[in-house]
Amino acid sequence: MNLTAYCFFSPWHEARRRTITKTLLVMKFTAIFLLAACLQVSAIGHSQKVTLTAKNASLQKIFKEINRQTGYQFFYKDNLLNKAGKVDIRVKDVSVEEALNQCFREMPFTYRIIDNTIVLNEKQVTILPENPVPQPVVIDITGIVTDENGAPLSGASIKVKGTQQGKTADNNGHFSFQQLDEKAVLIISFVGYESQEVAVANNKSIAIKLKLGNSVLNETVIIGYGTTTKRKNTGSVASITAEDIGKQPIANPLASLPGRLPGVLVAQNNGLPGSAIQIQIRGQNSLSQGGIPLYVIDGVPFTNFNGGSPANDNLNAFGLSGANGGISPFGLLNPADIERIDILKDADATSIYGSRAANGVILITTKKGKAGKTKLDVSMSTGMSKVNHFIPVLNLQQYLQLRREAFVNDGVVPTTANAPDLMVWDTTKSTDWQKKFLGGTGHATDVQATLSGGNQSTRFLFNSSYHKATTIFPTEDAYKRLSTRLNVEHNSLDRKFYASFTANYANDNTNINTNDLASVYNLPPNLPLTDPVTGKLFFATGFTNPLTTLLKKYKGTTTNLIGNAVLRYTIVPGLNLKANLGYTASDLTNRTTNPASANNPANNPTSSAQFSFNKASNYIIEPTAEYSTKIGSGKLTALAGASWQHNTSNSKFFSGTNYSSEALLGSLTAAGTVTVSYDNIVEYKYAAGFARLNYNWKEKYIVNANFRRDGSSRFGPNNRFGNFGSVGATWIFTEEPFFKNKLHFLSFGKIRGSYGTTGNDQISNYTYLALYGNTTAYLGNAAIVPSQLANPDIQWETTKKLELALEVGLFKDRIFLTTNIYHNRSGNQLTFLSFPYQSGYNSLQANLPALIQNSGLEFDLSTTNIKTKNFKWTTSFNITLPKNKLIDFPGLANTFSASSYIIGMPINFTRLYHYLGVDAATGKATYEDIDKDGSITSNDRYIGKIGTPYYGGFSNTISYRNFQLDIFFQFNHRFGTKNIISTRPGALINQNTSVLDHWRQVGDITFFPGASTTAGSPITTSYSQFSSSDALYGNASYVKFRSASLSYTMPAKWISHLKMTNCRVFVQGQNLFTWAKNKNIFDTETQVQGGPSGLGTGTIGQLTPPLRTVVFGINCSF
Amino acid sequence: MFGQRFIGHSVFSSCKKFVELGPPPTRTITSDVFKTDATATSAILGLYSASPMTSSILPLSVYPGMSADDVKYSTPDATLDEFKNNAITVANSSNENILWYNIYQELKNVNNAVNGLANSTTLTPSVKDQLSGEAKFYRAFMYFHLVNLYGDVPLALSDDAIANATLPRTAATQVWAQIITDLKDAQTLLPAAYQGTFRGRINKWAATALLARAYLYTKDYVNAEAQATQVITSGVYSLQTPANAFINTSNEIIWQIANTTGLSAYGANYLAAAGSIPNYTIYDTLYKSFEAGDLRKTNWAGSTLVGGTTYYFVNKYKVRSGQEQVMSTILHCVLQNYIL
Repeated sequence: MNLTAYCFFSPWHEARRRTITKTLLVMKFTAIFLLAACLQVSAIGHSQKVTLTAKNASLQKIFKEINRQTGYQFFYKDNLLNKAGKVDIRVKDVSVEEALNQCFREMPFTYRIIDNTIVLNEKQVTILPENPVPQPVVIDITGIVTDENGAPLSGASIKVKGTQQGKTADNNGHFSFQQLDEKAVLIISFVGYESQEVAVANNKSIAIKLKLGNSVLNETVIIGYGTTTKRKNTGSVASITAEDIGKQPIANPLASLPGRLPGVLVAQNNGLPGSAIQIQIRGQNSLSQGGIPLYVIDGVPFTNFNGGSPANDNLNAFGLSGANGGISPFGLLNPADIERIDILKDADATSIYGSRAANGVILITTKKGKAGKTKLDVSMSTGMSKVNHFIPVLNLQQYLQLRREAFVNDGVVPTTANAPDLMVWDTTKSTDWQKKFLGGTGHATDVQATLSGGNQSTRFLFNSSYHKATTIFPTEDAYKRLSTRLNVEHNSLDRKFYASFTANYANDNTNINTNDLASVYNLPPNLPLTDPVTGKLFFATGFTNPLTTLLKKYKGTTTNLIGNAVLRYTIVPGLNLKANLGYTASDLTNRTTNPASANNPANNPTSSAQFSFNKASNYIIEPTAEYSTKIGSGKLTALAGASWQHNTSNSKFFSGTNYSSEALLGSLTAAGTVTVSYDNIVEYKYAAGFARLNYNWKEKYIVNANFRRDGSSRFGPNNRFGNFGSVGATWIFTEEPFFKNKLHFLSFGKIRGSYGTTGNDQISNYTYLALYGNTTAYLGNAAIVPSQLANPDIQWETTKKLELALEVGLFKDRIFLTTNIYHNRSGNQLTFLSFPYQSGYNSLQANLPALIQNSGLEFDLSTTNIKTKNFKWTTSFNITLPKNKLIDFPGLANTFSASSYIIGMPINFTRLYHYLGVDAATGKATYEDIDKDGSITSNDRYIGKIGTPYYGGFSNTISYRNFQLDIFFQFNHRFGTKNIISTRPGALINQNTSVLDHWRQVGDITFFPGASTTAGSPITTSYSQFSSSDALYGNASYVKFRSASLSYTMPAKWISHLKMTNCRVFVQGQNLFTWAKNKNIFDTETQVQGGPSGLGTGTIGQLTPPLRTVVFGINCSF
Repeated sequence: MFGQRFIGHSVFSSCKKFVELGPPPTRTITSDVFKTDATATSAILGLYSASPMTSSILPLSVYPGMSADDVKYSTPDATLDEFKNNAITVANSSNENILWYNIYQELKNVNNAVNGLANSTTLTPSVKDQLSGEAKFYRAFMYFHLVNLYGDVPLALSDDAIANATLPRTAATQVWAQIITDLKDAQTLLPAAYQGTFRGRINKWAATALLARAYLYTKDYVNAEAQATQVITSGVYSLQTPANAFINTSNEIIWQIANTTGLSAYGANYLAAAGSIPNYTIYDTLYKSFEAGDLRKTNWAGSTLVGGTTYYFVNKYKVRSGQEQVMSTILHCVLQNYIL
């Protein structure tokens, strides 16, 4: 058997050129003929000019020079040049073709240019056949199968049509046939690619480029330290791409996620610009510690958790906050920069991230430039935001009536002290608080400009964006973000070396009130804001005048730099060395000001301000090596790597008091007294080694194993390192002959499963160390005291994840259904053990053997309903049915948590009184006396339904000619607060209209008890359990019309004379409408300000809700 | 495992080093605290100024005072009423969190210091003696309150919090014995002179005065008198007029806790802001039991009229708050030694 050696001629490996076997062939002198598709000569190449001056030079020398000047590589049979003579040449600024023509004038060669490669072949010499009888002419051929980017497709199958003859491409994509009929037709196929038929037609060298199949299965999916396809993936990954992100008018890329992905519960803290977003993947794994997923941006972990409690990754975890609460680090990422977000869920996908992956991993991949024409993309949109829904509240007359009833019921006479609303304030003047303070229109503006382009070896993308959003409050306050990002990718001509560099810089400026104004909704309608006599601000006991809220300001400036580099070198085909290097630095300066004028002069207030300065930096180095080879009929891929990370965070917090001038509140030096409230400097170090083995047998059976050994400075020296691992397997059963031949409607079928371990390390730093910390100075000298009880054994929580999934594609994947069943158990819970006081401590942070189980079912269905030339309609639907249960908690009774948890119940269950309704005789609320002891005590509570039985989303995309319409609905079935009654109806505060159904006289059967205001009166006393009873608790489900987008792409003939390649106008809407059981809340989704607690439990605060935003925009490409 | 072999052992040993972390720049590792004079001194100053001490000063005086019908809390409070009615339940949160827990928190700090100092070899001897004396005095002082309040109590002496967590009660006699041992040690270790002019830190005479009281409470009257006499004859102290006895420059003071918060622990609670009722007031019965012209009544008590009701209040400490003229909290007064 003979092999023909080919050489890629390039200066880099000329020396290493080697011949495998010399060929002794009688070659037919045939002209080379390649597929028309491959003949496209690069437009860039043509324009490059060559200058050559040589006398009696070897061809190799000439080739080297041409390669140097143009980058073209030469591709020829090794012994071909043996027949070459020496060359004399003198050309100046001529095209490559002209130079080559000159070169080869005297030579027995022809050439073809394919992309960046010049393929040489022997010149055809016409030989007259000796025998005129036609015989099948046989030739030896060699070829290469690559993908569209020129990467070899090892394992591709090459069959000779109509015969049993066939070959498989080797590791480098090469194949060869001997004695092949020159009229033969080859069928080249590879899983995931469109098959091609190629007529040999006496070509001796054939280069085949396979086009990626159109199926969704071939979509690249990003996984930990690599990529795979939906087809080959052994793990559970849910993804959203730029297409779906770009259709939503959002400022934070994470805001694109709610309802879109199965297993992922997302909630926005509030609707104010810059607010944080909570994400929970497959339930709450931890009793008391963090549930933050691990975020990875372009391969570099983006960890902002600095030990704050409750665990959060807010940039202001140790700083100040305004009405918008926690500052999400993702608010500094421009959504338009995101190419895709992949959420890793099961053990197979996550355990390569070891001790930080228990809560799932979110991989964010940013956009890169593409080779080709330099493209300028400009996008502008502007629009308005408003509160979707106002709480229906009593009008002035209804309110006053309720108040008067309350005094009658209580048998108390209203006085100026207990009823200023009835006795002092004007009972004819009413203010619609919501309209006045929350009824404004926010304006959102977004401008993006992206320049991208490059060639096969170097590509770039540069984006600059500006985003501005104003609030609905009656102020000029705004949130502004300016971001810039540059990505450059380069690969060497021989494609052995690859480098990608990204720098992302963002700056945001937030000016907002220190406190949310949403709470104004229930102010008494006749509360005066200004004193009717003096015209000055009016201060009523027990109320915050909303005009003073507008005077207390928050100002924050954040800058964020994310830099990363990815370097890769291919030592030999199949062996890659890679390094990910990342550096992130964030800097947040913020202050809140409280001028004396915003406070009641009766208390002799002075102006004060608080300042915080927070810096965090983080570097990470991750070298990896990947090797792939063929073993048997399968492909083995092995990956090994290491990771070193170092975070430093430094927060300083100062309070300035006794300012003499309100104008100087921005200055620290103008304060009469400055105190250092705290400084917090923490370091976090992390190191890991990891490995992955993947064996893919004929694209039919795939086995994947991960291992990681992690060390974290958060843990004690006794338990600093730990091992994590997983095994996953996939069977693509539609590759089996039975399914292939018999069940044609079943286009794809896959069963996969995985099991493995992951960890959670979200505890404060240094808990294993016995430390002394600062305390109040004594007699002017520094003083210190022991600050914590050390636990040198402290270690991570461990989550064991089990998953089984079925992926089915029907009718050429027009219907595609993914079903996941997961079953995770989290143990070794990091929590606080209650400790006898006589030790001097009340708690010890330790790992307890409590076990939490999160299990569930996820369905993800996508269908192409109609697909014609001009009309396409696709639908996708996902639903998740999660369950959470505390399986075991040895010694529960001896912990702080004794009353908070019950074995067998979800960890966030709620105890409720059972409301029996109103006593028709007295108007009092009555509750069930469950323990029958004659009085209503905390023992009379039962365990209410809790959590989110199911949630999901439903989206439709319809395109007709140049129009495209997208609509998306999110639904959430859950139990929680179904009405908010902040205090008893009749008290000195307004109520929503649901209380109109209240008891008024003996015999009334109503939902609400009688009005009452006076502490100690019978009805008021009966209210004490009301808000923790099922009167206000139950089904809090909702459906949200989350987003809609309509776009029109202008026909090419309209825009071509403007040098545009594409132009699209669009209108997009977000949070358009909510159908909710609870009408007496602004929004069913909003969480408690600041912390992550409350996600999914139905605990709701009255905060500014996510706003209804509608924007109009245009996007043009040049 | 595959990964371990692949990456090699040396990488892991360097990883091990990599994830080692010193203390945060804002705090000190306990084992380093007693290595230098300066940090060791800071740790002792923490015994004076940290919250377990500052937040128990007032309760140690007024809670028993409420039980003794001397003072009462002005606003209704169910937990404090249990003190007033001498019916303190086990679950009383003020008893548990303020008296018991604060004292044991302070003892935890004290035991850390006593043991840290004992094991230290790098301190200047005179500094080490001074600091050890203060720490031992504090231990005696806290157990003095504990044994008076509760009788038999767990006697934690080591700095191992986990071991201390499971200690059983120790008989009161042994606790008294430990108090006397610690005070005798303190008496030997401490210098007679104060650190600076302000009598904010413990000296030999403070230890001696407390020792006198410890003997008195254990009915060892001979030693009690002997120790008290030493204080009186030391020549450092003299009696003041009653009006000036409790100001912070009084020569009657043996030891006073310097005010750290800007509000005097006593003054702010005994004296009222203009027009309001003081947090703690004297029972009318107690006030009226003083004979007319009793100097204690004229100098150390007062009355105020709020909403038509007369309230009697403690007037030993003359100022509520302020930066300069703050009355410090006085824990020991030479007068008590005469009363002995």
